Parts: sequence; structure tokens; C-alpha cells
Amino acid sequence: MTASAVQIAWDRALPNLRAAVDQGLLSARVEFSSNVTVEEWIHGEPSLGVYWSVPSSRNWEDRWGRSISLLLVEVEGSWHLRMWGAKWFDDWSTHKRTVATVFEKQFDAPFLTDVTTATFLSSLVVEIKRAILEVEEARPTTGFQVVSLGDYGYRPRVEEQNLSISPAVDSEARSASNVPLDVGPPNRPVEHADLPLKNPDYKKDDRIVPQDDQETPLPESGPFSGTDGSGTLESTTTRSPVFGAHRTGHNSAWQSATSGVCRR
Amino acid sequence: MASKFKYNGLLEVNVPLDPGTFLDGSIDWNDIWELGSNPVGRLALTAQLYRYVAPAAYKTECKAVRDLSYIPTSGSTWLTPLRCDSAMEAAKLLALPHVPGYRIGPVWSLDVAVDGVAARISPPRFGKTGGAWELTTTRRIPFGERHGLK
Repeated sequence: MTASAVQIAWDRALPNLRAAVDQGLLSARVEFSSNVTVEEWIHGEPSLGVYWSVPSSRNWEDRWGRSISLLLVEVEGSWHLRMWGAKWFDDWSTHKRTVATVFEKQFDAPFLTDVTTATFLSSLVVEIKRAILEVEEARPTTGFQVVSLGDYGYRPRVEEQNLSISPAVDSEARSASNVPLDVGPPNRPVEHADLPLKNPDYKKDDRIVPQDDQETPLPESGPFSGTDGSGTLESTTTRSPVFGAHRTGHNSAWQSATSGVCRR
Repeated sequence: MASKFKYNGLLEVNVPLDPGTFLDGSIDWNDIWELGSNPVGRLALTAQLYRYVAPAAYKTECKAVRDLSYIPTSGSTWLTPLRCDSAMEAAKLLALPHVPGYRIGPVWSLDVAVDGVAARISPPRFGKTGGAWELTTTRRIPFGERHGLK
């Protein structure tokens, strides 16, 4: 069977599979607001992916995500349909993902030959509904895979290279005691401190004036010793209570001078 | 480029001006470049993106490039900032349906119009864990270097 024939057959089957997914999600009482995503032709392969309750990275959501995926594969000249179900938990505080494979199934794919298409698809619809319900109700306690969540292409500066998080695979199996069980919606409200408002790698540089600089007393002799206040900044090494210590780049004196003038 | 500013009417100091910045002293410029709280925005601005393709798909792609001078994508082109040299690791972290033969890239993210799947962490599928960032585009993207994966 040629690649184009497989493509045509898969495209014909997809509407039935999508309908099965819809019915399966409805029968499993998956809410509309639970971030359902359905994808086809993932990475160009004849496949279907259904994800729901997907935890968002933006809010560090700590709920379990659900996933069903189907893939049409050719093994030694014959075509098979493989189906996986998985639940996963993203721990954004440790940047770790815990994945539990709920099931893995394989079917022959006679619908490619147009002989028993209707029969096979009707049985497949039942299987998909059952799979969604199975994943929704699964409470995995063992058999977890743990990986590090990847970074997003940020190339750290040279001095931060050793501190960066690499997406290397963590081969250590996580003990079940460390994995929060999926017991429904999170019972802990999202606290403000949990929100990723700041990059943990962020380090304030020396342009920020330390607090104690504000309390440095005026030198007895220096650029501000004149009685009329018209001193100059000839000596840049002298610490000034007004401008803080030696800064580079954006000077707070400039910022202070313009902040009263230029308002957004 | 420098400009003189008065402070309290007493002093005039020469301050280097940064062209292209808005003259608002209330802005914390460190936060502008931070973007740590917005990984998607940061990815869209700063990342180098790669594709992981199967050997057979790459041959088809090369033929199409030879004939058409661009990569024709009937659907989506999947990209990721993940850079790794191991085919199995790429397949696992990106939850690929196949084991890739090549890594194509890098492509600067500003050269990619992300009009498909917005940047996200790849969900588990096909029995693999996912966990790397991925996005898709239906538009043409620049060519990239080819690296064979181990």
C-alpha cells in the first residue's frame, strides 16, 4: 500500500474517530472547560492525539493531564493501529514530569482495504470511548516514568551555564510516595508565591543600589562640599548619597531626573 | 551619544543615552529583558528552533526542495528549541511517532510564523513521555543544517 493510499484511508477514517472522541469525552463527563485538544497527523504521521485537563505551564497548574494517542504503523508489510493512554503530572517547582502509561493496545487495521471498514470503525469507536473512560478513571500508583521538563531555548550567559536546567532524561524511577495522587481538582488554592513571576535564574546585578548606600554619610570634603550646592562630579570614585555608588548603563540620576517629566 | 540632564536644578551630568529606549524612568529595564515569567514570549523572541525528521521523510523533503526550491508542507511543520544528539532521547522528549534520523536547524524563532500549535510542553503520546517545548507552523521556514543523530 502506497503512502498516498494510507493517507487517503486515514483521512476517511478520521471523521469517525473524531466523533468517537467527542462521544467518549461526553460519556466520561469531561467538562468543556478542561482544555481539550485534538490533533491529527502529528509530525506528519497518520495519527490522532487527544489531550484533556492539560496543565498549563503559565499558572503552574498541578492537575493530572490525560492523553489518548492513536498511531497507524506498518509492521512487516501489514498495518496496525496502536493506541496509548497516559496520565501525567508536571511539577513546576522541581521541573519534573511524571508519566503513567494507563494502557497500550494494538489492533489490525483492515479499514485500509475498504472491505470491513464500517464494521471495524464501529468497533474502534467503542474502543475509543472505553479508552477515554479508562484514562479518566485511572488512579496510577506505580510504573511512573520521570523526565525533566525542557527549557524553552533560552541560552544562559556563560557564567550561568552551570546553573541551567538541561532537559536530560532522568532515569531514576520516582517512588510512588512522592507522586501526588490524582484525587480530582486540586484542593490547594494557587498561592501568589507559586506564580512564576520571576525567573529563578534572575540575579540582580550591581546596578541596583544596595540599601546601605543610601545611608552613607556625606564626605567632609568632596564634590558636594560647596556651600552653594554647586558641586561637580569630578571625582567619580567618591560615593554619593544622591547617585549611589558607581553605576554603569542606565543611571538612576537620569531616571530620577526624567521620571517627573515623562509619564506614560 | 550623550545628553545633559539637570538634577534638582543644581547639577548637570552627562548621561549616555541608549537609542531606542523610551524615556521613562519608571520602567525597570531589567524586567523588560527578564521575560522569565513569559516563557512563550521568550521562546518566540530568543529561541533557536530545530526539526527532528525521519530518514524517509527527509529524502522526500530533499526531493521536494530540489524540485520546488522550498519545503512543501501539507500540514504543520513541528519545531522545537530542544537540541539533542540522541535520536532516542529526541523521540522520548518530543513524543515523536517515529525515531528521527536527522536534526535540521537551527532556525531563528523570529523567522518562524507560529500559526499552528503555540509553544507548549509536548504532552505524553505514543507511549513516550514528552516534556520538551514544541510548536508548529504552516508557513515556509528557512532551510537549516542537517545533523545525523546517533
